[in-house]
Amino acid sequence: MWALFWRISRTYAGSTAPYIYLLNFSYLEYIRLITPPTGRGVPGFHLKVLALLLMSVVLLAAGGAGGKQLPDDVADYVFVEFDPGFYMPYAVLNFTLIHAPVVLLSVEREVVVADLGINTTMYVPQGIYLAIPRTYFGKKPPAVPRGIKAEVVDLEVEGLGVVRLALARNATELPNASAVYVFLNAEERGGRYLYRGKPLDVRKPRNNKATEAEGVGDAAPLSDTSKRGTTVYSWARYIFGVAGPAKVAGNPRAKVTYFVATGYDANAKDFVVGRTDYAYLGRGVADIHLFFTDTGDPWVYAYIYVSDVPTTTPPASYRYVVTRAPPFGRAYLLRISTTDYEANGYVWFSAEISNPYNRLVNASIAAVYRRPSPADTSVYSLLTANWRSAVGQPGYMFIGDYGWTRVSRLLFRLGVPQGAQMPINLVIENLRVYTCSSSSSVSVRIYSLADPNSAVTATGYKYVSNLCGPYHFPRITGALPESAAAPFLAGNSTATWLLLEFNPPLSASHPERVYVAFDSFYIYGQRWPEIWSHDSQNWLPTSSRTYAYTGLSSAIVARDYLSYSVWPGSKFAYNDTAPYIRAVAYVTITTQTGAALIPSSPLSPHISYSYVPTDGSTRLVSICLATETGARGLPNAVTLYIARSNANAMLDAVVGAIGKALTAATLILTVFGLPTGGLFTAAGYVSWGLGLLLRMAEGRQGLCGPSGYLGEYYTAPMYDWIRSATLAIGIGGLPITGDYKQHVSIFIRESYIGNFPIYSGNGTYTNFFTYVGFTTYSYFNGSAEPYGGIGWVGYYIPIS
Amino acid sequence: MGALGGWGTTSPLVDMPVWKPILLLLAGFLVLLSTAMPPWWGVQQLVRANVGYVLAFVSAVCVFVECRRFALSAAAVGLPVAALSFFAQRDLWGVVLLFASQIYVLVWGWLGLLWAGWRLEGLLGVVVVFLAQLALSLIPAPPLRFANLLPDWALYSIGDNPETTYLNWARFFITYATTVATLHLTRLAGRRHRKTG
Repeated sequence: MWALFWRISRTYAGSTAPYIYLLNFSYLEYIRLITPPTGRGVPGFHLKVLALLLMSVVLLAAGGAGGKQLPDDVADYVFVEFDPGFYMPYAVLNFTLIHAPVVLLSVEREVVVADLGINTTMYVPQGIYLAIPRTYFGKKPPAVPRGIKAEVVDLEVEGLGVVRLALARNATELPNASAVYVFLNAEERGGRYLYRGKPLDVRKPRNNKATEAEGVGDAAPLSDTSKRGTTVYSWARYIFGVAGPAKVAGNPRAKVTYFVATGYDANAKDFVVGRTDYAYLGRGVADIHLFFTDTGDPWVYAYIYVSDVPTTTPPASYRYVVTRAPPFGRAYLLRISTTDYEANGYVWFSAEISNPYNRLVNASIAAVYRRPSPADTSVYSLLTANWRSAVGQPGYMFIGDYGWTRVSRLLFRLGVPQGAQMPINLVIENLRVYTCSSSSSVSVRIYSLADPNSAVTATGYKYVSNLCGPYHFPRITGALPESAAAPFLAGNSTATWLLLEFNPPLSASHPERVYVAFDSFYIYGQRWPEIWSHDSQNWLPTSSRTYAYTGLSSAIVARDYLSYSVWPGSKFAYNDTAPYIRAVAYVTITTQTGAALIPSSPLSPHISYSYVPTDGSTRLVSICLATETGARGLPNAVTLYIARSNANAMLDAVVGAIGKALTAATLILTVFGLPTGGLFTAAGYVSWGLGLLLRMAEGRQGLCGPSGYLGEYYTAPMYDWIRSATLAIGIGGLPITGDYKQHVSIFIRESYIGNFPIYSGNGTYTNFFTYVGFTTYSYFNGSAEPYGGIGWVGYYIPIS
Repeated sequence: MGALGGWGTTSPLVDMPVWKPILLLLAGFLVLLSTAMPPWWGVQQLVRANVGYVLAFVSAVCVFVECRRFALSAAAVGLPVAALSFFAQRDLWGVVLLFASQIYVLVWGWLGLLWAGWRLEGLLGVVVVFLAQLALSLIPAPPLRFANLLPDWALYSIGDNPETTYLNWARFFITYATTVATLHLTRLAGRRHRKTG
């Protein structure tokens, strides 16, 4: 039953204040109509909002120049796949412009959240559409009204004809330009989208020319690319979440505050992270992503301060940007690209967000930086490091048993660390699914929830003629663009959600079962470890080997970054009540960069291992960290340091004494000839039990690692566990003369315990660990930026 | 005329019902099987394996000698220890339980076997038991990984080795058989000694 419920008509007499309608229904999201604050008022401006109840599509009719009513039935609309980006779209009809609502279509979909072990439904974004009344299509596009400076685009839809769109960038191009956004949560039945039982006519235009508004623009090349004869030839984009949100209120505008580094406490030997109105972004900023919560009016008044030299307070000169942020889910995400001048200077950023209802505003920032590319031939590229984020511990093979059900989508959480180079590389090894389908192939689409339009796809085939059988996929590799991760980082999270979407959906009836398995699934790339200490022009002053303003040793640079989720044993088939991930582990390699030719004691590289358990019972009880050895320039000495959780000297002594007694007893038995090595005898059993008792009750440390590796292990005694571990590495002879980057493979073996059996990790990461050396100090003697080095702190993945 | 020569209502060797050793072996086997239950922290596995194997050794002893008090005391100590292992944590009390179960193995398992040798043939019996175990331990081990009760990685994580672990149902029965064989050899040796001596 489609009924007209609200009709709002109002004359807009022209004011400088932003203007908004917000209709909030039980099912329907909200709709906004926004006009820019500086718009020139048009007499007789009519705004008609038609809302259809029972939640549904509420569509807004608004006339930019004429005032024409939009149809009130969803069946009267054609949803044309078209993303206007930052433009405000209008349909041209009879010399008038009529709003073409931008529809963000989401469909309720079944999703298995693999990490959490839950089967649920969620609205998965399907894309951006323009809702255009069917009657607006014609054989010939209508003429454009005079005086319109907006960009004109014709969309041709097969069987309907052509519709002409006017895309306005701002109020200068079209007086009172505004955009209408509709969040439409549809359902899908039989491959069709339905809204409140009515089918949606979703079409693809023949000539979908994407507007250039949303192109992933690079900032212009940095002008100064040489320093002391070293030229940078190629550049890459690296992303950092630089400012965390700090709640703030304010009316009519909220001046947003962030948590960022504001100074350095020499006594605490740590950076001071405080609330501030200004965020220091530094040099080489290509893009600023401002993420903020709903204020009801997404107008942003931003200030980009710029100076030629690094400063500790915002400089006087700035650029003032007023713009409307496009929605990102229920929040807003605004991307501001910098100018050449700004990208070549030192940038500070502050913003006010219009906040008519005086809500609490949370805003956070991710910035994309231009730095020398990892592939660059200059010495600068030595400073890049590796990163990788994987589903499962080393050697873990995922097997999900979903029973006799239907599985369309699997959701996994991975992490994109600070400083990751864009785009993100993705690999899935040996994916196979077991399903019942008459089709000989199954396709999979892998995409980030932040950007469902960019996906990596692959097809798997069945090599048996049975209805039910395994489908094998070839090795899946691909890349996800910046838009897959940037919104998450801007929203102050290094977690990135990736969906595996199967088509046709996997299904099986009793007694057949749906399985999904893969040997490894990871995203990886290279990263720029530090935002501010190293850029193409200003490098940390190595003569002092300390960071500017801090006195902190420059030896400590977290370079290579590895994170993975720790999963339970695959012996226990997956089902809805199965345990989810037990912990998230982080392996970071800290080493010297640009500091010294000969790595000396305080500069020796360290591999540190830490983890965050997701429950109360998961504990790390054994760890082995090892690195490649045996060649010039490779590690020749290692020491493992353990942070124990429940260290108790008295218990250690008592258990140690028992252990010594047992060892002595075993020795005596051996001396007297008691058979202790038998595998089938009572005596053999006794010695096996004693040996196991010793291994469990006592903490042990020693050498470990496969052949060609040098490492140490530690196993916690039974009354204790490991909080974190660090392997200090002594590098022997220098590998080669000159500037160098040394690649070293690392080996990790670990065991966790918990209420559920947890698969023991055991694996090698080839050439993952890197360290660098430089022949001269002279590359790096530019002025340093304040708070250098803060860029690598605080990138733990929040666990919800 | 072997130790297991007859399967009547009573053992041919001692005047006791044959169901007693069978019951003990079965109880031991069930306790051993329960080691496969998570959590796999090691303490649960070793404590239950200890109780399971000791009950098997006691069962073997009961085939040859009158063992009412021995069997009852073994069950009275072992079963509560096995039950406690279900509540064991990786903490100090877990260590205490583990240690207690190891003492149990030494007293009721190993010393029990020597005691049976003593009861059968005196000092000669003790020596024969010892030598028989030594001889049997020289048998090369066939691959028995198929019968492991825990996956390899779980065994590694508790400090065990999948090739040699006793958390293996086949090894349980073979060990039982070697224990019976040890006592049977002791008996035979004693008879031969009496005949010749």
